[in-house]
Amino acid sequence: MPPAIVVDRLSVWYDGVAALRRISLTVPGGAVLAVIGPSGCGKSTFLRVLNRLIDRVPGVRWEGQVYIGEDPVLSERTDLTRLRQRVGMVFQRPNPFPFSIFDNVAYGPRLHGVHDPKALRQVVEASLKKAALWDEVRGKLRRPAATLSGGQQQRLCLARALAVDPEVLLMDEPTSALDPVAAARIEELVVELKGRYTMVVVTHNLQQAARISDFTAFLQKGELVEVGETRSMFTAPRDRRTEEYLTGRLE
Amino acid sequence: MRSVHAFNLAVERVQTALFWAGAALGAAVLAAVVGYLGYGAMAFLSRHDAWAVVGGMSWDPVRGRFGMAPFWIGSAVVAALGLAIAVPLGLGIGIWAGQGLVPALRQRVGVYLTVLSAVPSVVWGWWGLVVVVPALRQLTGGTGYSLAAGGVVLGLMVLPTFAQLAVQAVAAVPAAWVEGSLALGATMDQTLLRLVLPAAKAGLRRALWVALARALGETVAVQMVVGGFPGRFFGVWAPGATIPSQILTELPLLPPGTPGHGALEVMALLLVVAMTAVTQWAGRERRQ
Amino acid sequence: MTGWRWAVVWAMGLVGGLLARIPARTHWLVMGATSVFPYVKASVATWAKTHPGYAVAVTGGGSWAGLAALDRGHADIGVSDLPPELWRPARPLLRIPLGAMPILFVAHRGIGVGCLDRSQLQAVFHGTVSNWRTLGGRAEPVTVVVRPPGSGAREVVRRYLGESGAGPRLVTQLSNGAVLAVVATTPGAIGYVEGPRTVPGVVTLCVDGQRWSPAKAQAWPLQAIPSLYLDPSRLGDPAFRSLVQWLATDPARLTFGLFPLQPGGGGE
Repeated sequence: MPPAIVVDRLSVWYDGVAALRRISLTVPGGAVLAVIGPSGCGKSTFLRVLNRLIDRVPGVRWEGQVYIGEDPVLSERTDLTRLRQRVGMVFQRPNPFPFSIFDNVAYGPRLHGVHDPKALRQVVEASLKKAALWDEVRGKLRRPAATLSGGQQQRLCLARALAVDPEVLLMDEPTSALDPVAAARIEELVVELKGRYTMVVVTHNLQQAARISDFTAFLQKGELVEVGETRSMFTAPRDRRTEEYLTGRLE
Repeated sequence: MRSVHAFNLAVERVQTALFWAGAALGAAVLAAVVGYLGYGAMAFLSRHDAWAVVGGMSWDPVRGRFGMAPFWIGSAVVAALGLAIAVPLGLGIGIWAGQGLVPALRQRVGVYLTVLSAVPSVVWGWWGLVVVVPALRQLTGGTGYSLAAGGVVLGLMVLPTFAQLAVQAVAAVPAAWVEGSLALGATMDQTLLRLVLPAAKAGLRRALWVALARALGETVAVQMVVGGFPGRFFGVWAPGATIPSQILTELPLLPPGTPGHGALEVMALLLVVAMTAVTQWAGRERRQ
Repeated sequence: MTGWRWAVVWAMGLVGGLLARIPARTHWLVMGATSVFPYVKASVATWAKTHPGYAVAVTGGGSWAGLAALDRGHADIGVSDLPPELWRPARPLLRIPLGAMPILFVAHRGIGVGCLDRSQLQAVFHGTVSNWRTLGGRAEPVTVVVRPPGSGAREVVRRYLGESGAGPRLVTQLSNGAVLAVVATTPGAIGYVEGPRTVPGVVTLCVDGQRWSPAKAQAWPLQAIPSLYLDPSRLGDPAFRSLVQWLATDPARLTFGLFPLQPGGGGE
């Protein structure tokens, strides 16, 4: 059973400017949380706190706490390597490394000490199968990843993230750079992987949020306006601002 | 609309012609150098035993002996030493500035490196005389004037050029790749070794060839500290000579018109050929 | 671009490079030994003041370069401090000595030796003596600093001492100034320079018990004789003749380290 994510009064500042204010929410293990909101509302910041990629930003400061399962994320003692192995991430633009398809997927396992060729082959194959890419690339694993189409590249990045056996998956607008057909395949995958991973998906696309998520959080200007079950939020939002956003009167 | 289009086409044709003329002038100058040197070199080699000239160990132009091997050895040793110093330091600077710094600071480092690479070679040579030579004298008990001194001066002189290109190559690795690697649990060190350096490989190799070409061609800075000994190889701590430093030394003895001048033209031609080969190689690396 | 155009470019370049080998004639160029370059430059400038219609260029490049340029007709006057029999000109040349330039042995201040005789100098320059202790000086290894082959000073020293040995403590430097700089900064170094020059940290050695002084310049054992070389037929031109005469007799010679010749040491 994948771990739950508990966010407890999380605030983040960049050089003293608040990007997130006192966010609290819970994602049950194995559920999919969609994070929606206008541009610059703090969606990406929220995502990058969960795997501490936020550390790379100079002048960043935070308060509050995030738990993945029992383990605090925002602690001096947090082992970032271990955290990021547990919490995989797929980015907005497909970012395959300039290596072969095989070496892309094997990158993570090799980092964590897997060097046996047979074991590597197995994990690469399994990961590509989970990302529904295996049938398209079998026999072509030595080709450069850059030769794949955009949608294939994004699924390759998903396979790369899955290869280190994470428990949580973060997706930062994973379909915004893809055509509708490729986007639909990613959505199918999210639904398929539900239950096996706890997922947080940032999206601009409200229909997408409605289609794939169990819970939805609506962020605006760094504040959590509303969070709840997706179905109830989309049919009967409690907050006026959510309603305006969902009906397109805002943004 | 039609006339605007016709005008644009005409401008384009003029531009193309200008670019072509520029490229043609460059090629013509190179051809002129090759033609000039080649004529003298061929005439000289036809009068002497070509193998004894190119591979001989005995250089004594007053007595008509023109063995150039000491200078090939000297050039190889000095260039290798220079790169052995410039490449690790330059890679360090490249990684530090190319990935560790925000773009504004990186730009400042780039400006600083550009200024350093514009320091005239005679200044590096002078610096070699007052710093490197005494230091090597203390260290080795020799005279200090040596192939090693040439290598050290050359290494520090080539460093800014190499570092500048290394910074560019490393900075060209997209941040999205670095984040992708970190998000998989890689440390920054692992990311550098397994992702950034392999991804920057083509650019770094090109930087290496440019540095090598510069190292092979450097004359004055090396001549000032290398000791100028044109005989057998006594080791890196002893005086020696490189191809360009020896050309500089012998020009007064073998000016154009003297029978031995052809020997200098052979050396210069082979140097031009070697450097052209290096730059061609660099160009091919870049296109890959 | 199409191949034939590049072929034309290459052909033009090659032809240009080959054309550059055809000598271009310039007039009134004085070229040669760097040791007397300052003198020739100053003296020509004085002469030019009274001869406004003439432009005379003076350039260094070394003795061999000057003689070679004269041979090919590039220079009108060659200046050389090489012993004259080393150069076999293509046609008969007139040699006009400018004076005698002493060649002095200079050493690092700390060698602890002030005087050497000829055999001791030979031992040092041939490498058979490798530490000043052997000659009664301090325990300091010998570094020999020489000029490249083809410099007049080296030829004169070679005649006096024989060819220098080879070894890891033999340093070649291109000019008098560079020799002095190396000798001044390298403990145990010895070298030679043309003309009485001195810099801090360098001592001038006495040779065979003789200390050099301007008064006894003629008796000094090592002298280069910088000379003008020219085609004798050119002296038919009065202006050219006056320039040559002025260069050979200008009283400023003494201030540039050119001393009057011993009787009988003159030209031919």
